[in-house]
Amino acid sequence: MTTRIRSFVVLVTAVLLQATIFSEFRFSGASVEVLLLVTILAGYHGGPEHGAIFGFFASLFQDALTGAPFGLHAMVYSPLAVGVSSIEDRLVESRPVVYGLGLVVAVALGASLAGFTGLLFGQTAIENGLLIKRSVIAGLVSAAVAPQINKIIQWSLSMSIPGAVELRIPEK
Amino acid sequence: MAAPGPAERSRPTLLILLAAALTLLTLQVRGAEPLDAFQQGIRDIIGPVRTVVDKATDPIQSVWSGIVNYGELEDENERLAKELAEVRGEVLSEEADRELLERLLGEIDVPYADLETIVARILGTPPGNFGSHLVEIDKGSDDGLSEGMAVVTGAGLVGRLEQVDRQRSVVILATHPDFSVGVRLVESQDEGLAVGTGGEEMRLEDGVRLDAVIAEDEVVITSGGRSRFPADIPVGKVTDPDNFAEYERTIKIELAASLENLSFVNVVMDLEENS
Repeated sequence: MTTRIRSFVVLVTAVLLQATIFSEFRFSGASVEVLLLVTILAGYHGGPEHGAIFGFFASLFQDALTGAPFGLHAMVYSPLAVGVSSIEDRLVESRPVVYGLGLVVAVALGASLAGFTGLLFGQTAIENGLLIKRSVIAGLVSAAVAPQINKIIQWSLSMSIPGAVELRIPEK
Repeated sequence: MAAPGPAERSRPTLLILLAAALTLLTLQVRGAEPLDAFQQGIRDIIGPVRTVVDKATDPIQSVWSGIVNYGELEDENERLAKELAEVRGEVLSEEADRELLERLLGEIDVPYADLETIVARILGTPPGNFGSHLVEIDKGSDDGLSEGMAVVTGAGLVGRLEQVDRQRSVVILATHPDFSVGVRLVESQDEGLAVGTGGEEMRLEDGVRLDAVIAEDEVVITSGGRSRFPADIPVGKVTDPDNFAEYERTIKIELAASLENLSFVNVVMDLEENS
């Protein structure tokens, strides 16, 4: 199975999870942002270009699910994937807790930026405080399910980036 | 010259994607119908899967709701106990209010109860984290619903249908800042435009005379006419008539229908005939 087909399967699965399980189980009104999460992980593991394209299509599905106009979430998801990939390039070594915190921040940032973009285009009606609160909770709950989703994203990209990590570690 | 790195190579791609996103956004905000239809198609494909998962996980959802909302349920229980005590003491005055409302509605020949409606179950909040003042119901265009239809309960106006798919619809509640409805004050007969505030009440802003004397607790109903809502649906009662306004009058309205913990609503079907 090629990387594109695997990525498509991952994307469709993420859409179904977002529309079903993750929309029904909420903490204080906030749910897992699974489409944003897979975009961030695709940018992290697959590089900026793959992340941007993956994020674009993920965002179109997010628009359809939430009833937002097409393109609204893409204004945030694609640049965020590129940004995450860029930061990942500069990371030499880190501990799991740093990755976890980074993921919480990335999801919370992406969710709040998407919310504020919605406000800008008159598509969201929510107070700023509540928007930020829900974004932070979404970041936390998304990070909680990230380990499992991370493995799936790695599987979807396993054919396209063999040895990518070795290239960045200088030989002694 | 060194070959460009991944970040440099991705810049043109990102610019193209952002341009595409902006184009799509502009087209759809301007009302491109094929894009709306495409979005609806995606939701319609996913809809049956959502219904199956919703039914399968219903017991788990109940347990989940009990766990994560335990504190809220305790608070609500306490609040309801206090309210019950107050209500017991106010039964007589409530009876009188109800009689007054029925008499007033009778005077203007209101067939509110005769509206053709379809009962829909509330499924919860639509997908996404920022859908405030929106709820999803289990009926859609297959059941004859269409966008703009009024949504009510036995107590009064709840909202209107905002997004109608084949098997599900999204209701924009009357408290949503984008919601507006033409209303009439039953006693003074003044008409105006009531809008959602994003809080728990509505605000009557335009149309009411500055010198109109409006009593607190005056009943507010939909005005019909050119409005998309049928006339004479109870909206609520005035809590702050703003009788001393000098330039711009803002009247606060407490909704008759409780929008918290809704389980079922009625969608008014005969929009054309009643508007």
